[in-house]
Amino acid sequence: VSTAPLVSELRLLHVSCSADKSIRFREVNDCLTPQAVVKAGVRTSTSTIYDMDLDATQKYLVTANQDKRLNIWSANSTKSVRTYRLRNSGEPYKVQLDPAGIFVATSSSDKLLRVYDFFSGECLAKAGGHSEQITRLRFTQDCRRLISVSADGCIFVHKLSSALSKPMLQRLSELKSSRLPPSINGLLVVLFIQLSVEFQTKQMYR
Amino acid sequence: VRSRSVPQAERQHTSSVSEHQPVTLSVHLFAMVKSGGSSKTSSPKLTLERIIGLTASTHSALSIHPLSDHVAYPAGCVVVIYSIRKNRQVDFLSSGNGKAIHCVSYSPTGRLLAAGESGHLPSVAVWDLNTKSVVAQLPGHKYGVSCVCFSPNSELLASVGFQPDSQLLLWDWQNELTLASNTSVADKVLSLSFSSDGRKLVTAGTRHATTWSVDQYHAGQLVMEVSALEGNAAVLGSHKESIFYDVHCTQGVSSGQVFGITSRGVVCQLGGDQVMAVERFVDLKVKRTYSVFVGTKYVVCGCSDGVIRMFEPVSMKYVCTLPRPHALGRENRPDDSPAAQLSYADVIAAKLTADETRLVALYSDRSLYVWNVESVKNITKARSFLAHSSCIWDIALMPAHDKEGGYPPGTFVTCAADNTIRLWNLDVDRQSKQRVVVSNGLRSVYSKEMLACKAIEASSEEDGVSAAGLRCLAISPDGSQLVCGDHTGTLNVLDLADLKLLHTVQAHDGEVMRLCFTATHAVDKKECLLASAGRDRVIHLLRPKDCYKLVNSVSDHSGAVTSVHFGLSDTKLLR
Repeated sequence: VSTAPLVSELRLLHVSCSADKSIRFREVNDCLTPQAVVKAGVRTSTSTIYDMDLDATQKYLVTANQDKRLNIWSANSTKSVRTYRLRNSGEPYKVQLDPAGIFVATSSSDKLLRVYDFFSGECLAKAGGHSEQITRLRFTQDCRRLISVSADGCIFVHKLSSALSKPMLQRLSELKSSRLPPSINGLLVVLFIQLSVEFQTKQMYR
Repeated sequence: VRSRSVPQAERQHTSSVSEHQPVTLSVHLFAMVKSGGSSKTSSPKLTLERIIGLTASTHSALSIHPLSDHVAYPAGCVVVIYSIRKNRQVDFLSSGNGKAIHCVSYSPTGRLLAAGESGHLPSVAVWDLNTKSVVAQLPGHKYGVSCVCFSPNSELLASVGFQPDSQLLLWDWQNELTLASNTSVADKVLSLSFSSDGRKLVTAGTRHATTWSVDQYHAGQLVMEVSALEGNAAVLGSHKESIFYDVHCTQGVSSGQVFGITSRGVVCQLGGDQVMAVERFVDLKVKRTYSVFVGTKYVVCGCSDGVIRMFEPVSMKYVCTLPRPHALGRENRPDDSPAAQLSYADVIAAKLTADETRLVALYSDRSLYVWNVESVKNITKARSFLAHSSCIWDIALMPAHDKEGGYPPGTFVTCAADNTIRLWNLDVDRQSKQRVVVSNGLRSVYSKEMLACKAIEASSEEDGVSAAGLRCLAISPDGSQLVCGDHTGTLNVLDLADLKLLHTVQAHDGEVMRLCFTATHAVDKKECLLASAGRDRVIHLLRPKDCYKLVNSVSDHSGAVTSVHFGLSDTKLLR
């Protein structure tokens, strides 16, 4: 395994959540044989999980639970890291993280959509207007809009204020600069240190 | 003296709205920002920018500003104000009650707009359009408001409720008082109109047309008791058994006439001082008719199969028939197939603008057309908007790519229970300099923001499941293919370049709940996989490269799988 190229050391994770209150973590091997999917962990939540999303760094999962909670799971350790209780909200039916992974948008049984801070769970904004349940939410890739679709047949396009879109764009550019897989990153850091050490020794030599 | 019929709390709410008058309504009601002390001065974090689609179901859901080019129609709980000249949605009004809006009506001067809600214990909301604030909330109906209408001097407001009570209420809306009511209407009331002198009110519906005298009511009068309205049923003669879908009282030159339209495709002219009677009628030679509008130059009748016929108001002489909209299932471009095979949506409302140069028509497939009727010899389409006609289930974003001739950036795809997949782009206007050209020529000619529409045939009609309904979507990371799962558990794979169906895979027993491709940066070295999760508790892993052949199935969940995701991890997972 150690001789394999760096990239394939990344494991393909496969996570699913269900109405049976469980969230299941699996690994998918390259060979794609019937034994390809390896069970890695089962975690049981306190209530039905309506929806789940994965953050931009692929390290955290957020699930929307029937008991009006957002649960945040670490994808690597398969453990629950944080729980946000949603006050004054209906049951969260759908959950969507923004492209940068700093805001969580939810749609709930009261037909409103809300935007929460991913790191604190604070409700930052809410919006309504749909006359039926919101079936899916999406942030656009340019971080300017939040689009919601509903069972009433309407598509609502919400504009994000700069208070929301600016931190998203900032974070997104940070992520892009470190988009290389973490292991490659580590290698680059090592190379950089080596170079700087060489440079310093040359300077000293002079 | 009867006290105000509105609870104290709601009064306070409305007064607080009018106090913050500079704040537009979208600010006030759509995004209540909660972020410390500075929330009052900071702008809202979410504002409505655009609504694609509408929820209008009858002719009372379309109203045109009497002086300008603004059109009002409902979309969910919001009234959309669309400007024909500017070609954009200029305002979104919401009462904040969270109930779907069923009917809208401008006041005769255009300063006010009234909207009636549907649902249990609805109210009628009145907006002042100068300040964009709610100036009156009128609760009183029980099961939804079927139509609303202002009196010619804008002082009174009449509203009719849904069956079974079909209550007719007359309001002094400024003081939020009920002046008069009638609860004895047993039949369904579908339309309401004030006569031009404001002394009479005409209602029409199933097997009836009735005039109500409202001469003795005026705004600001003391109400000792809600009086009962007295109605005079019109003599309908041979149209006794018809359903009157719409009535409209004429204004101006030919005032005093009442036009009604019956379900059987007949437009009637009613008249008479004491008792109204059908004076003459014209058979429109159509299956059904849904709306009538009387302007100074034309009487406009909206009929079934996309037909709009225009007449002269006094002589009832036939003027012309408007072109039809897109044929159903041909949303991208007109087709050369013989006309007999095509079907068209019904016209549920057709109304003229103030200057009678444009005609706004709403169709039963929820499309909205603006026709240029300046010269009846050459009627052309000025604007058109297409939308999903039923529950939208999923939305997916097109991945960003630098390919030439592909879909422009920001394109998104929706799928709905009406068995269509639609591609949208909201920035088409901004990019119009280089005319968004989709290389394959798929660009819909009927809609600006809708790039294309693809209908998926129901896969298993023999099982009696004809309305499959498309349930979820996924786009492959390279943006070349689209997979759509339906209610019967079938996956439809489309080529995004030409929207041709490539494969169908019968994957699940129940509906497909969620589809997910492996992410982009996994594609480079690892093979791309598709996971489909179903209500039948099974997750399938499919290989797109191999015609979506099944690779593996996981069935360890004991309930419907609600979501599935792929991720990458650089550490071994803990067991």
